[in-house]
Amino acid sequence: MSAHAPLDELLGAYALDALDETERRAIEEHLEQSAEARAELRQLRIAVDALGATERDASCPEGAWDRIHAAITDGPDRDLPVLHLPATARRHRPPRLVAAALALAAALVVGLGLGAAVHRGQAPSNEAAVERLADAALKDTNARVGTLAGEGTPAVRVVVEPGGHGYLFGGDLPSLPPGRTYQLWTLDGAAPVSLAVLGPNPRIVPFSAGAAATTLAITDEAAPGAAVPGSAPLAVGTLA
Amino acid sequence: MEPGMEPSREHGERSDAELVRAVARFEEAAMHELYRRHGRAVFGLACRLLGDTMRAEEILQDVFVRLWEHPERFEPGRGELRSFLLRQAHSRSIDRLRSDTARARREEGHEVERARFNPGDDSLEREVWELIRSETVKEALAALSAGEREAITLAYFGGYTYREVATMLREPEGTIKGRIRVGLHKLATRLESAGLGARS
Repeated sequence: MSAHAPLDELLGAYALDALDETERRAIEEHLEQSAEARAELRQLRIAVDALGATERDASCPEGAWDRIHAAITDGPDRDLPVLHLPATARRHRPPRLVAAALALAAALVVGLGLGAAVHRGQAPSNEAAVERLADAALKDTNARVGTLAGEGTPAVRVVVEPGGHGYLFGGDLPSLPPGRTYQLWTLDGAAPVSLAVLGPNPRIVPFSAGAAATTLAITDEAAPGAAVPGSAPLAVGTLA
Repeated sequence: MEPGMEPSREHGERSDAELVRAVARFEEAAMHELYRRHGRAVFGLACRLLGDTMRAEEILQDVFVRLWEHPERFEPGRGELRSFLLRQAHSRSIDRLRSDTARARREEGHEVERARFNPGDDSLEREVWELIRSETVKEALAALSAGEREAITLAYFGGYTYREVATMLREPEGTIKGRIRVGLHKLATRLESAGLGARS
């Protein structure tokens, strides 16, 4: 019998959303560590997904799409045109342990200058021009896109052109209090490297990521920005 | 055809996975096509679980706004988009149900529903049974023991935790979690045998 048998016994109830919060957290930790449990959950979900699909479709309420549309366009990209592009990018989940890795790396890293890669996030002198450039980057099918996500933080979309120039759409981020700033990092090397100080209220912010940058993170730092991250990331994601 | 449900000429031929990738590039038309394909299923499940169309629309909106914000959370290699969306709808509906206020509303709503469609029948399991339209799934459920079927339907469609199910059925908690796990495995095996369990 597996050493985790008591937890494995809860996998069925977990698949049905029939656990309380404490048990749910315990199972999710167990799932991160046990490939066997993940395989069993995949099997159980075949049944659960079939149960969900047995329900009758229902006509959506009048205006439901309009309300969804209003919600999704009331964000950082609301002024961007609808784009019609061939879809080429593949996306991946943000790595689970990046937060811990970032904290560890921050403790080890030796002073980093913010360097030439830093772009100030405060209102660019020509916001319309930045928006046009960001729009062009989105239209570039060779550009990589990513979503930086974190618990309690609105999703932040980024696009990076093949040459490494990128744009961050930060309009959904809540404004920070005076003396604080958002900061963008790449986590690909042995230590986090600052890509941009985004300011306390970023909208569309250009940055230079380098062509090879893959994993990005946003932190909340003391203004005017930090050489090493002073806190765990608010949001992390990968470019693909 | 209801408003907002007209198929998109441009996106109608694209796969769900292609449309999700387009959503990552801010294509609102791709998002609309995904809503057209799956919105009714999501809303139907939320309605069934919550017994309240207003709250069900909140779930509908929540599920699709999250897809817009986090398209990367759908991994095409791990299953179909509809299953992914229904799982989100179920989970969020259950969270909503587990507030006392919401549960009270649901009970009230179900009473109205029973009075309208099924007067005199107060069996949740029977009500669920009648709503199930898939013959294959119905047959697979019928092959379970009565105890397994009851535990699974109360947990999934009733939104109860396995502990609550145990209390309702006056059975030990260990018995109920065992019935759920074993019953789901049997169900999955039968569905796979019938060709319904394959993952893309």
